[in-house]
Amino acid sequence: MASSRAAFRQISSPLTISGKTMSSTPIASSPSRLLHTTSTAQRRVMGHNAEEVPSEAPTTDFDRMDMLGATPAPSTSVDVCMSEGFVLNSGARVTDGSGVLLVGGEAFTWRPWGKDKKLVNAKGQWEVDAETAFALLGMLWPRPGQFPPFLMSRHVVRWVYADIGADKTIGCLL
Amino acid sequence: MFAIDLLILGLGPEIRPLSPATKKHISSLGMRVEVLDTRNAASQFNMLATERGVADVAAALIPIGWRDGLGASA
Repeated sequence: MASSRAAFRQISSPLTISGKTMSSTPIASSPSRLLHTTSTAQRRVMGHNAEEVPSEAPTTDFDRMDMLGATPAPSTSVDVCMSEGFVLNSGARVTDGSGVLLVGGEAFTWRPWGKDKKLVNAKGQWEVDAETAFALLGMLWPRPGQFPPFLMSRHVVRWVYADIGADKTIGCLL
Repeated sequence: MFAIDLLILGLGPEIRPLSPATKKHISSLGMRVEVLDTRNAASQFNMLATERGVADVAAALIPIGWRDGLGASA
Protein backbone atom coordinates (compact mmCIF):
# COMPACT_ATOMS: atom_id res chain seq x y z
CA MET A 1 0.00 0.00 0.00
CA ALA A 2 2.78 2.36 0.93
CA SER A 3 4.58 1.65 -2.31
CA SER A 4 1.53 2.39 -4.40
CA ARG A 5 1.03 5.73 -2.64
CA ALA A 6 4.64 6.62 -3.31
CA ALA A 7 4.23 5.75 -6.96
CA PHE A 8 1.11 7.88 -7.19
CA ARG A 9 2.84 10.92 -5.68
CA GLN A 10 5.61 10.52 -8.05
CA ILE A 11 3.31 10.65 -11.07
CA SER A 12 1.19 13.51 -9.83
CA SER A 13 3.92 15.89 -9.12
CA PRO A 14 2.99 19.52 -8.43
CA LEU A 15 2.14 21.46 -11.57
CA THR A 16 3.85 24.70 -12.37
CA ILE A 17 1.85 27.21 -14.37
CA SER A 18 3.13 30.74 -14.97
CA GLY A 19 5.76 30.35 -12.32
CA LYS A 20 3.20 29.38 -9.68
CA THR A 21 3.17 26.03 -8.20
CA MET A 22 -0.27 24.45 -8.20
CA SER A 23 -0.73 22.11 -5.43
CA SER A 24 -2.97 19.23 -6.30
CA THR A 25 -4.35 16.69 -3.97
CA PRO A 26 -4.35 13.25 -5.41
CA ILE A 27 -7.79 11.70 -5.45
CA ALA A 28 -6.61 8.42 -4.14
CA SER A 29 -5.05 10.04 -1.15
CA SER A 30 -8.22 11.88 -0.13
CA PRO A 31 -9.26 10.97 3.39
CA SER A 32 -12.93 10.72 2.42
CA ARG A 33 -14.38 8.22 0.01
CA LEU A 34 -16.46 9.42 -2.90
CA LEU A 35 -19.73 7.84 -1.92
CA HIS A 36 -23.20 9.27 -2.11
CA THR A 37 -23.56 10.63 1.37
CA THR A 38 -27.09 11.98 1.09
CA SER A 39 -29.09 10.30 3.79
CA THR A 40 -32.00 8.13 2.77
CA ALA A 41 -34.30 10.30 4.84
CA GLN A 42 -33.64 13.14 2.40
CA ARG A 43 -34.24 10.99 -0.67
CA ARG A 44 -37.80 9.94 0.14
CA VAL A 45 -39.84 9.12 -2.93
CA MET A 46 -43.07 11.02 -2.96
CA GLY A 47 -46.18 9.78 -4.65
CA HIS A 48 -48.53 11.84 -6.80
CA ASN A 49 -50.71 12.50 -3.78
CA ALA A 50 -47.79 13.91 -1.78
CA GLU A 51 -47.58 10.81 0.35
CA GLU A 52 -44.29 9.07 0.85
CA VAL A 53 -43.88 5.90 -1.15
CA PRO A 54 -42.65 3.23 1.23
CA SER A 55 -39.47 1.44 0.29
CA GLU A 56 -40.87 -1.91 1.37
CA ALA A 57 -43.87 -3.69 0.07
CA PRO A 58 -46.89 -2.90 2.26
CA THR A 59 -48.39 -5.64 4.31
CA THR A 60 -51.75 -6.88 3.08
CA ASP A 61 -54.64 -5.46 5.03
CA PHE A 62 -57.57 -7.70 4.21
CA ASP A 63 -60.00 -5.39 5.96
CA ARG A 64 -59.16 -2.63 3.49
CA MET A 65 -59.67 -5.04 0.60
CA ASP A 66 -63.29 -5.59 1.62
CA MET A 67 -64.62 -2.67 -0.38
CA LEU A 68 -68.24 -3.44 0.45
CA GLY A 69 -67.59 -3.91 4.15
CA ALA A 70 -69.00 -0.53 5.11
CA THR A 71 -71.82 -0.65 2.58
CA PRO A 72 -75.15 -1.40 4.24
CA ALA A 73 -77.00 -4.35 2.80
CA PRO A 74 -80.30 -3.41 1.16
CA SER A 75 -83.40 -4.10 3.21
CA THR A 76 -84.57 -6.60 0.65
CA SER A 77 -81.46 -8.73 0.86
CA VAL A 78 -82.10 -12.27 2.00
CA ASP A 79 -80.86 -13.13 5.49
CA VAL A 80 -82.25 -16.64 5.82
CA CYS A 81 -83.53 -19.24 3.35
CA MET A 82 -85.93 -21.65 5.04
CA SER A 83 -87.78 -24.70 3.77
CA GLU A 84 -91.06 -22.86 3.73
CA GLY A 85 -89.99 -19.27 3.30
CA PHE A 86 -87.47 -16.51 3.85
CA VAL A 87 -86.32 -13.90 6.33
CA LEU A 88 -85.26 -10.63 4.78
CA ASN A 89 -82.82 -8.05 6.06
CA SER A 90 -85.71 -5.73 6.89
CA GLY A 91 -87.05 -8.34 9.32
CA ALA A 92 -89.91 -9.32 7.03
CA ARG A 93 -90.67 -13.03 7.17
CA VAL A 94 -92.42 -15.39 4.78
CA THR A 95 -93.25 -18.73 6.34
CA ASP A 96 -96.32 -19.94 4.49
CA GLY A 97 -94.49 -21.66 1.65
CA SER A 98 -94.62 -18.68 -0.66
CA GLY A 99 -91.69 -17.47 -2.69
CA VAL A 100 -90.50 -13.88 -2.75
CA LEU A 101 -90.11 -11.39 -5.53
CA LEU A 102 -87.50 -8.76 -4.71
CA VAL A 103 -87.61 -5.83 -7.04
CA GLY A 104 -86.78 -2.14 -6.84
CA GLY A 105 -86.15 -2.21 -3.10
CA GLU A 106 -89.52 -3.74 -2.35
CA ALA A 107 -90.43 -7.31 -1.54
CA PHE A 108 -93.51 -9.27 -2.45
CA THR A 109 -94.71 -12.74 -1.72
CA TRP A 110 -94.75 -14.73 -4.93
CA ARG A 111 -96.75 -17.81 -5.82
CA PRO A 112 -96.11 -18.54 -9.48
CA TRP A 113 -97.57 -22.04 -9.34
CA GLY A 114 -101.11 -23.17 -10.07
CA LYS A 115 -103.47 -25.37 -8.08
CA ASP A 116 -101.49 -28.49 -8.95
CA LYS A 117 -98.34 -26.96 -7.44
CA LYS A 118 -96.23 -28.07 -10.37
CA LEU A 119 -93.29 -26.04 -11.65
CA VAL A 120 -91.59 -28.73 -13.74
CA ASN A 121 -92.91 -29.79 -17.12
CA ALA A 122 -92.77 -33.23 -18.74
CA LYS A 123 -89.29 -32.52 -20.10
CA GLY A 124 -87.89 -31.71 -16.69
CA GLN A 125 -87.77 -28.00 -17.45
CA TRP A 126 -88.85 -25.27 -15.03
CA GLU A 127 -91.99 -23.78 -16.48
CA VAL A 128 -94.55 -21.32 -15.21
CA ASP A 129 -97.26 -19.29 -16.82
CA ALA A 130 -94.81 -16.49 -17.38
CA GLU A 131 -97.43 -13.93 -18.35
CA THR A 132 -98.91 -14.06 -14.87
CA ALA A 133 -95.89 -15.18 -12.83
CA PHE A 134 -93.86 -12.18 -13.99
CA ALA A 135 -96.79 -9.84 -14.43
CA LEU A 136 -95.36 -7.40 -11.92
CA LEU A 137 -92.09 -7.14 -13.82
CA GLY A 138 -94.09 -6.63 -17.00
CA MET A 139 -95.93 -3.73 -15.42
CA LEU A 140 -92.71 -2.05 -14.39
CA TRP A 141 -90.76 -2.67 -17.55
CA PRO A 142 -93.20 -3.07 -20.39
CA ARG A 143 -92.15 -4.28 -23.80
CA PRO A 144 -91.02 -1.70 -26.33
CA GLY A 145 -93.95 0.11 -27.88
CA GLN A 146 -96.13 -0.11 -24.83
CA PHE A 147 -96.75 2.59 -22.30
CA PRO A 148 -93.64 3.95 -20.59
CA PRO A 149 -92.40 2.45 -17.36
CA PHE A 150 -93.41 4.05 -14.10
CA LEU A 151 -92.44 3.68 -10.52
CA MET A 152 -94.09 0.98 -8.51
CA SER A 153 -96.81 1.96 -6.11
CA ARG A 154 -99.10 0.03 -3.83
CA HIS A 155 -101.96 0.81 -6.22
CA VAL A 156 -100.10 -0.87 -9.04
CA VAL A 157 -99.47 -3.89 -6.87
CA ARG A 158 -103.17 -4.19 -6.05
CA TRP A 159 -103.94 -3.82 -9.72
CA VAL A 160 -101.61 -6.65 -10.64
CA TYR A 161 -102.88 -8.69 -7.74
CA ALA A 162 -106.46 -8.36 -8.96
CA ASP A 163 -105.44 -9.07 -12.52
CA ILE A 164 -103.59 -12.33 -12.06
CA GLY A 165 -106.11 -14.14 -9.93
CA ALA A 166 -106.17 -15.94 -6.64
CA ASP A 167 -104.06 -18.97 -7.47
CA LYS A 168 -101.04 -17.04 -8.66
CA THR A 169 -100.79 -14.19 -6.26
CA ILE A 170 -98.32 -11.46 -5.62
CA GLY A 171 -98.82 -9.86 -2.25
CA CYS A 172 -97.04 -6.81 -0.95
CA LEU A 173 -94.70 -7.80 1.85
CA LEU A 174 -93.22 -4.51 2.95
CA MET B 1 -86.65 5.12 -12.47
CA PHE B 2 -85.58 1.52 -12.36
CA ALA B 3 -83.35 0.04 -14.99
CA ILE B 4 -83.40 -3.58 -13.96
CA ASP B 5 -81.61 -5.66 -16.53
CA LEU B 6 -80.98 -8.85 -14.58
CA LEU B 7 -83.42 -11.24 -12.96
CA ILE B 8 -81.96 -13.82 -10.62
CA LEU B 9 -84.23 -16.82 -10.49
CA GLY B 10 -83.93 -19.22 -7.56
CA LEU B 11 -85.75 -22.42 -8.48
CA GLY B 12 -85.81 -23.99 -5.03
CA PRO B 13 -83.61 -26.87 -3.83
CA GLU B 14 -82.10 -27.61 -7.22
CA ILE B 15 -81.29 -25.97 -10.51
CA ARG B 16 -83.14 -26.86 -13.71
CA PRO B 17 -83.20 -25.55 -17.25
CA LEU B 18 -85.91 -23.05 -18.04
CA SER B 19 -88.56 -23.96 -20.56
CA PRO B 20 -88.12 -22.03 -23.81
CA ALA B 21 -91.46 -20.26 -23.32
CA THR B 22 -90.50 -19.01 -19.85
CA LYS B 23 -87.09 -17.91 -21.04
CA LYS B 24 -88.60 -16.15 -24.03
CA HIS B 25 -91.06 -14.24 -21.90
CA ILE B 26 -88.39 -13.00 -19.51
CA SER B 27 -86.26 -11.92 -22.46
CA SER B 28 -89.22 -10.03 -23.86
CA LEU B 29 -89.23 -7.97 -20.67
CA GLY B 30 -85.76 -6.75 -21.57
CA MET B 31 -84.00 -8.70 -18.83
CA ARG B 32 -81.29 -11.25 -18.74
CA VAL B 33 -82.00 -14.16 -16.46
CA GLU B 34 -79.62 -16.07 -14.23
CA VAL B 35 -80.96 -19.41 -13.08
CA LEU B 36 -79.67 -20.89 -9.84
CA ASP B 37 -80.88 -22.92 -6.90
CA THR B 38 -82.42 -20.67 -4.27
CA ARG B 39 -79.49 -20.66 -1.82
CA ASN B 40 -77.04 -19.52 -4.44
CA ALA B 41 -79.57 -17.17 -5.99
CA ALA B 42 -80.11 -15.43 -2.65
CA SER B 43 -76.38 -15.11 -2.15
CA GLN B 44 -75.91 -13.76 -5.65
CA PHE B 45 -78.75 -11.28 -5.24
CA ASN B 46 -77.39 -10.04 -1.92
CA MET B 47 -73.99 -9.44 -3.43
CA LEU B 48 -75.22 -7.73 -6.59
CA ALA B 49 -77.86 -5.65 -4.82
CA THR B 50 -75.24 -4.41 -2.37
CA GLU B 51 -72.70 -3.73 -5.07
CA ARG B 52 -74.91 -2.33 -7.82
CA GLY B 53 -78.04 -1.27 -5.96
CA VAL B 54 -81.55 -2.68 -5.96
CA ALA B 55 -82.51 -0.64 -9.00
CA ASP B 56 -80.37 -2.82 -11.23
CA VAL B 57 -81.21 -6.34 -10.21
CA ALA B 58 -84.32 -8.27 -9.23
CA ALA B 59 -84.77 -11.71 -7.71
CA ALA B 60 -87.57 -14.24 -7.80
CA LEU B 61 -87.06 -17.01 -5.30
CA ILE B 62 -88.88 -20.28 -4.62
CA PRO B 63 -88.42 -21.69 -1.07
CA ILE B 64 -85.72 -24.32 -0.71
CA GLY B 65 -88.24 -26.82 0.68
CA TRP B 66 -90.21 -26.82 -2.55
CA ARG B 67 -91.35 -30.24 -3.77
CA ASP B 68 -93.01 -30.37 -7.13
CA GLY B 69 -96.66 -31.29 -6.80
CA LEU B 70 -96.56 -30.79 -3.03
CA GLY B 71 -95.36 -27.23 -2.54
CA ALA B 72 -93.16 -25.87 0.20
CA SER B 73 -95.52 -25.68 3.14
CA ALA B 74 -94.39 -27.57 6.20
